[in-house]
Amino acid sequence: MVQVVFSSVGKEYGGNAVLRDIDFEVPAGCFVALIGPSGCGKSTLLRMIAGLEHIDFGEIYIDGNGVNDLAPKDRDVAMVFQNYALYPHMTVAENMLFTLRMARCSRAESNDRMWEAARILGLEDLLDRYPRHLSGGQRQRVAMGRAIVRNPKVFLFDEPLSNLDAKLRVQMRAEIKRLHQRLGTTMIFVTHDQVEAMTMAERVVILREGRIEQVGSPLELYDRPANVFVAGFIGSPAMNMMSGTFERAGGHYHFVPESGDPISIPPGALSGAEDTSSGHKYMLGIRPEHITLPGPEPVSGERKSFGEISAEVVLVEVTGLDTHIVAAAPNGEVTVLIRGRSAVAAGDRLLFRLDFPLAHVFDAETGQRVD
Amino acid sequence: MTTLPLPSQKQLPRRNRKKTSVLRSVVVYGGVLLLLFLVLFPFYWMVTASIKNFREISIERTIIPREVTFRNYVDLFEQTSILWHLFNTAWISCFVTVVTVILASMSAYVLTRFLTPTAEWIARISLYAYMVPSIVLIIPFYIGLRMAGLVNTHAGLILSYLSFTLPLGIWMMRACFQSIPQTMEEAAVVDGANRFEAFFLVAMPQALPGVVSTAIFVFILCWGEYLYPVVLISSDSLRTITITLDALTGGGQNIKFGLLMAASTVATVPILIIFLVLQRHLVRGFAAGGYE
Repeated sequence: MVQVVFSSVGKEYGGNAVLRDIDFEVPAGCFVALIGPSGCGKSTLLRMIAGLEHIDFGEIYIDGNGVNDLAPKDRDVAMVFQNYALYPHMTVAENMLFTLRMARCSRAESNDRMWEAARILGLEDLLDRYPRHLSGGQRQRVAMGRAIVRNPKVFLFDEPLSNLDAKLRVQMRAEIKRLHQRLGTTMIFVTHDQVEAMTMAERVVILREGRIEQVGSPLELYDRPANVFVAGFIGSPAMNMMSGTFERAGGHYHFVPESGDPISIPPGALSGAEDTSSGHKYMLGIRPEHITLPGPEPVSGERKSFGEISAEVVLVEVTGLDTHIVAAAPNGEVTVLIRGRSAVAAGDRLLFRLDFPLAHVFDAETGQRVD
Repeated sequence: MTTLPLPSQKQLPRRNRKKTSVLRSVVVYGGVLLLLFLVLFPFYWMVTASIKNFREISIERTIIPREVTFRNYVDLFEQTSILWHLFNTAWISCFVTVVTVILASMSAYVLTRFLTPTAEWIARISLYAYMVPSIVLIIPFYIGLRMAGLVNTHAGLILSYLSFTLPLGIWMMRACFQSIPQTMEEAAVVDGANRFEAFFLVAMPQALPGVVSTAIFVFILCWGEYLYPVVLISSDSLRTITITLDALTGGGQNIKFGLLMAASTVATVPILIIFLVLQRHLVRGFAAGGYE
């Protein structure tokens, strides 16, 4: 198993930096997902590992060896492309044997390895077919077969599931994960789909505009996002955000949004790192599942409990497994996720209780996590 | 002011609709037949004239031969060196076609895959070179080839042919490579191939329809080229078929129509066979290159 290290890696196109100061390690045998919005540089980074793009700054090490000056064929990596890139004039068997042919493997050994890969991926019956005669899922498996047949040090996947329909995508997700468990090889997977990244990867690297925003396990990213971007990017429905200040009044702390009533904070819910005296602005983030519905809106003048806001329901989305409620509060829209069914309907005025100990606080100016 | 809506096709009475449909069919099929006639009649005339006697060609001018004779073909093969000239034309055309396809494919590949900022200009310049009329280049060519000792040689003729087949070939192959996704070659490179292997084993097989189209075009151009051989070749043994046809016109004074039509038929048959065999690839090549 092989470790991949990125040391201050950068890339420019026509004077514009598309990747800057990329520093992270992919531990040996780890499944890492590179995720970010379109144009964040994740595919470029993958192509730089493969040797398809020049590394303008820094160094990439595979198994401890710098690969900047190595040709793609000498890096011992295999890549699965977004559109599979199967050779249309070759059969499935020839597609899989191509890389072994290039490596000047003996015919007997090549055939053994090809059959082994075909067996792992269930391609035995498709070996004499041409790619045009295969379904999307079968093509995807052939592309993976072509990668595993050579037993590379590192597997690279460039959004390999994006061309599949939703059902097949879930199936192939599980198949790739099983493949990783079986082979134990280091895998780097590029995707813009957070569900893919969260469910498949052991570590996730979030990129934005050519920079790393956060590296961590899927749950670390979900539970402790390092900044507003990560908080908003990971999780569906997205985290609710409101900007405001923290103030102390009446013996306890309040979060005072830019519009709307102050929200009282239960004792001990703040980390202590928040500045509550100078009116410094913060972003308060709360995941939709960390908001509960204690009941109808109180009558005028009645005091609200800790963490409660009142809002009017504007939209109810039922997925079957759970219910998404979108409500209009004075400080913006709030999305709530209720497990199971709910009798709430659009137009209802309700109380929404924010589970403050699970809230995230970010500096409004820098966007960075405060605690 | 109100305007009355025009009756649409659906609103027209059934009889009128039928009449319009018949009229449209007559116009369309009439046009197609006229075009077919214009294209095919010269071929028909050529082939039938080649099997008529002198009287039917020049005096009676029959449309359908009353008496079929192969005398013109016998005379053609006995009195002229047409077979030798056909051989000259065939080997020169084949050689130029092969060289053009190889060089044009490699150049076009480089122009589409490597030199992106300047490639467009180089490709355009190559097309402009093709557009320059041969008559403009013939004197500089003659002088250059004479200095190189290549006048009245097949080598000189081949070089002159390449001057117009290469730009055309590069332009056609470039359009072909532009339509082939680059990721397959990238996959090949990651799979362990070097650039040449990626080109020959992955890009070229996919460019095959484009290669066939280019080859057919170049072959036809070489086969029918007249100006360069008439200026550069003086020995009878080195002549190509177009010069033979020209000789049979007798300078316009004594045109041997029977022989000329027989020779024209003989000169056309190889091209026709090649076209019929490869036309499927030709159409695919047009589609692949996106220049249909």
